[in-house]
Amino acid sequence: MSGFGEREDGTFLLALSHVLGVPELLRVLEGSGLALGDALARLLHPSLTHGEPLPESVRAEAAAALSKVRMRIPARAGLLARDQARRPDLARLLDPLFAPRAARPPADAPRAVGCPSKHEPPGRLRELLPGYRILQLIRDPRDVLVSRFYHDLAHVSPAMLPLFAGRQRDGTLRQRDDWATAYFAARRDELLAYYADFAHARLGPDVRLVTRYEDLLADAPAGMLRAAAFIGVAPALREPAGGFDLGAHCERFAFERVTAGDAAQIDAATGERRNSFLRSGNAGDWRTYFDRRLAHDLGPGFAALLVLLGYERDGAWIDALPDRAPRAWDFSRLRSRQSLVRSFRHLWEADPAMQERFPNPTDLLAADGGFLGHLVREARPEVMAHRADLIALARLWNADTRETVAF
Amino acid sequence: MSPTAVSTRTVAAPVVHVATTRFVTTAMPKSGSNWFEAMLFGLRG
Repeated sequence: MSGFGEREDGTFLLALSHVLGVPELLRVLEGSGLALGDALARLLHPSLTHGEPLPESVRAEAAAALSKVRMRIPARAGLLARDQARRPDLARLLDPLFAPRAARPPADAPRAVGCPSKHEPPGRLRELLPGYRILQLIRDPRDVLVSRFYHDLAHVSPAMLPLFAGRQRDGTLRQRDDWATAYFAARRDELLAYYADFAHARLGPDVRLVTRYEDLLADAPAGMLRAAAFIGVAPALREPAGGFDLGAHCERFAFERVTAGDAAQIDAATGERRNSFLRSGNAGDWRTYFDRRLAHDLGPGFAALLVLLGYERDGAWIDALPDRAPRAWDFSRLRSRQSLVRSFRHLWEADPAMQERFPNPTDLLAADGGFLGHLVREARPEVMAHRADLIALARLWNADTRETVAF
Repeated sequence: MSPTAVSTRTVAAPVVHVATTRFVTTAMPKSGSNWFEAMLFGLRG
């Protein structure tokens, strides 16, 4: 069963963990008499019908794959599970996946079952998951770059740091004069790679629906209705007898309440969200930060991408940019503590004892210092070196001092 | 999920006798996918 894929089982688990939370997912599966490995094997191999014993080799390989996936489940898994009303009936959700081939679906079975694949290009999804419909969300790449910059400032890793700063002969860090060129070129290349197959003919309208983030901001219910129609659940939304109010549904999932990335941690004393990189989520924020030089640095490939995605007709927007952007990039939004935890999260992932001791490694407000405190106390050389760099950057960039004290 | 962790195995076609649409979502990071997916996976049906 080679290739019992990291990607596929991760996709499935992420889908369920997004809405349910991993601990609860595992409990429900156990209560249903379904081992997780069995569930995944049957999802990925429909020929293994319900009730058919799994070959031992399949079971062992699935267990190994699951172990890896479980390690990678983000702490955010419980994010949506805090709201009881959002929890789906998992048993119903799984029914159509594990039903025998010839079985008819129960009348109340879900009409669509989906999973987030996150950042996989749609062409690759088409190859890996034939028969699946693809919902692709796109956003103005200029706004993506702005948002990504502030996200990255909250998660500076040792690998990312050289994009922003260089080390002088005495070992101290100094911000690179050309940081914007280095950083945005790296992020631009990721965008170009992801969108390389955007216009491919095999991604026809029967296979993929493109939804613009900007359209969702303007009219979320309309966007959701389009998506629902594409996956065949729109009729259920329109049934007045069901009492489903799409507008209220979208309002309940308002952007501000669900986009906290890792589970938001609110400082009880100040009410401040301490681990958030959340910003406005607005469309067009790039106009605040872009100047002509940045646009030229991003190059013709990036300008062509904007045209491909329908955000610009041509490159005239570049000439209209100011020589100096209205606002400078705000490096004070560096999040040192969060960056350190994220940079060394793999130590937590590789150690079951750590996971038991610190169920949420990104909990920066834990009374005993949590995983962050453990990292610092343990004082591995690579951790302390990055910590020193992050503290130096925080001073250099005048970052929130509350992020650097007691750290 | 890392875009690099990709299996080379071809996934078998889904069960066709079950009248359930299967779908996946995809977006670049920082494109609003958490929000989109929260609304989408919260839909009834």
